[in-house]
Amino acid sequence: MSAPILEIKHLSKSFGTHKVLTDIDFNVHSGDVTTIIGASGSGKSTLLRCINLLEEPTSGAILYNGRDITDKKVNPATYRSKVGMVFQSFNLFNNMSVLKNCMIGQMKVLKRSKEEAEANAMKFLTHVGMDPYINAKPAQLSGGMKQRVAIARALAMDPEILLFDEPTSALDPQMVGEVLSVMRDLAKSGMTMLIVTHEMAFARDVSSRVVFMKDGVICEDGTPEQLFGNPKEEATKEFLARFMNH
Amino acid sequence: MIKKLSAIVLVALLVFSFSLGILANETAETVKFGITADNLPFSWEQDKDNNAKLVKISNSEKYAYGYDVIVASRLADKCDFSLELVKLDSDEGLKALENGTVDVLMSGFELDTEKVDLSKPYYYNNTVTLVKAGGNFAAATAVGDLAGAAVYAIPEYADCALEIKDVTVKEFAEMSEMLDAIVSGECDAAIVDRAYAKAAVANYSELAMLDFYGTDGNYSSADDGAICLATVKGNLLLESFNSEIEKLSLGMNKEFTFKNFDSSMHAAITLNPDFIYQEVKGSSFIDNIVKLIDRFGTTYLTGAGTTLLISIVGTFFGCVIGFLVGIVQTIPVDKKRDSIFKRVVLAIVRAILRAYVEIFRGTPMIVQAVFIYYGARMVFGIQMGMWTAAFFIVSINTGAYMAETVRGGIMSIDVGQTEGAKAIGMTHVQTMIHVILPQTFRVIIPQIGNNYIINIKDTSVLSVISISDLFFTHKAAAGALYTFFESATIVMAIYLTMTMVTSVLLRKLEKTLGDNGHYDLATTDTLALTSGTYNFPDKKKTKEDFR
Repeated sequence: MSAPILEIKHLSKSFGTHKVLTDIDFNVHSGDVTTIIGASGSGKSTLLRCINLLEEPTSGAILYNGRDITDKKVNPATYRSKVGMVFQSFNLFNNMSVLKNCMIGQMKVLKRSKEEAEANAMKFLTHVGMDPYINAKPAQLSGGMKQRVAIARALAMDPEILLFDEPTSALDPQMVGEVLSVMRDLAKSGMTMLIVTHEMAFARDVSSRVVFMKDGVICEDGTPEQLFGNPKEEATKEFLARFMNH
Repeated sequence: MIKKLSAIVLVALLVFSFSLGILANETAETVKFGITADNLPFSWEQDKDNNAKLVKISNSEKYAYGYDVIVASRLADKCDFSLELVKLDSDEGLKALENGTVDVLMSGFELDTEKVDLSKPYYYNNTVTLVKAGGNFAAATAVGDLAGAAVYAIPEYADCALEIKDVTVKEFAEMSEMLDAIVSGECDAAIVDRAYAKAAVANYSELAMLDFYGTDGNYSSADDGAICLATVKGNLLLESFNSEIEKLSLGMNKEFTFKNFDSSMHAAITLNPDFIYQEVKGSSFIDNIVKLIDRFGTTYLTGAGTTLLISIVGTFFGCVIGFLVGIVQTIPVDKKRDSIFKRVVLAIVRAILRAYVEIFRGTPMIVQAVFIYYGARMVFGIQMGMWTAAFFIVSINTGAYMAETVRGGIMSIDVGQTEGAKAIGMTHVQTMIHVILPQTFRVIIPQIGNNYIINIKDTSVLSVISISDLFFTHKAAAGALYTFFESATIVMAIYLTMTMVTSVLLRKLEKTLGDNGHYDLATTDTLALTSGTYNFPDKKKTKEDFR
């Protein structure tokens, strides 16, 4: 097996005296689609934000291609340009059109020419089906549309790995489908993805691996078949039972 | 001894050029008279109008008139020379005489009386008293009769006022206020010079002039206010001027009286378009407004222009300062990655900026203006131009307010915007420039407008450093025709117009920047099918719309 892209080692995070993550250990390999599930407050989102350095880990290491990015010599901006992130609240730039949203990072961070950035942005916007809306401002779009643009924006940066922080939690049920179908396509195309989600069906169908978290620790970890079909831990069973029943 | 003569002098310096005389040319000799052209009612300058008596000033585009010009014209007529008027500053008269720029100096110059010859006086601008006609003191014939009066005195005559028994000396204010106080009975008398009193009486039927000159009852510290012509020492023509001046003063009575001079002075007073009492104020409110606009229209507009210019420049640079300070105050500190050096420098800079904001927000602009304008001169020896000072003061003051506005604006932008930018690898600077500041600007436009409108109004305090803004214009114009209410009405209307136009423009800008109303769908050939079916957000969405 090739070396992992991402190695999380003994990662802990506290907000003051409140310990949110305790001794998290896991790896992500190229092409993996890893979903992290768990109850609200179990630390899933914090884990993802730590991986993107939006939160500073309290202790432990995050190795990206073998290099510890929590080291203070690593420039977070450079690292983040290689790790895409899609937020629950979209976080599109309100002052820019859809097209500009997908171009600005390419031009300013990757120093691509305007033409190249535009062509690339159009490619991904077409991919997510948002190409007719390139002149719209985020405020004019529905939630599902915004999230598709956000995915295109992240993809346009050609990331090695894409982080999804509950990408469908802020959406109406009817819009969840459009976003999940885009993600499903992405997974098929071989993109390395790390997804925090409450969409159990999606996790089961799309992931190559599922991580279940509870109270800031990884409780169970395995293939979707193992974890959904035959969970070992009592907590996992309880959680899944609650979710599958409604 | 240098003696400043508030009234003055004359002389004739006729240099008969003998060499010129050889050319058997019969043209009259030219004599150059120096005038100050700002010594009302003796001399002033104005644009040409239909008054044929105006005399062109040789070194100016304007025309001169006034008592001096009447006298000079008469001398030219009687002594048979051609008159040339030269406008000079009051302190350059002697030099001009000595280097031949002028031959004769008239009133209003500072002179060393030992270096010039003086003619006989061509006016006596003596000390007189203004009272209300028919009032308690109207019958006074001596200083003693004014006992117990409340009196205004112009600074030169302060000693005279103190000679009155049981006097209450009022603080000297503007001339027009002073006259109004006498008319309303708030004050009993004003001690002023004769020319001024003549002008006041000519325009206020309620006023009367008391002249104690030549009696035992006159003010002991008063003088006769003799005003003479001045020439260089030994000028031949003074004699011919003197005999003519005597004729002028002797008049029909062959008595040397003020009365004869007064008729010429009256002519001067009633002809001056800018002299403060040249025109009696109109009979109605509307009448006065029309008169003010007619007379001072351009002055008001110039004042409004000054106000606008200072407000715009001040608000612009205030915004620049505000953005800079606001940006520095919101630089995030990364305790793990930022060096100690950077953190210490940042902390110091922030403390200084914080102090700047507190000081300039916490003190009145009028005090800052005086403090900076005079402080720069006294402490640092920097003589700031008043415009530089005005721009500087308004900018730095606005900057202090804008700094907090910008800081608040930046903090009001959803943290998700920053995270979105960070997540695609943008640095703090890139995030600020491309994402946060454009949105901040949009959010704080109403505050910028607020500051601009406040500046339009607050520039009025800059008159303390001699800026002639709109309010200053109002004071000047109102005093001229004694029409405070009318002038205030005009000025209110101008201020309101400026602020309301600003409001409307800002609303438009806000709307343009925040336009989320509609957008065009991209229509290229490859998109033709889909784009034709979309009409977001008006059209009801169908399942196809979302793939």
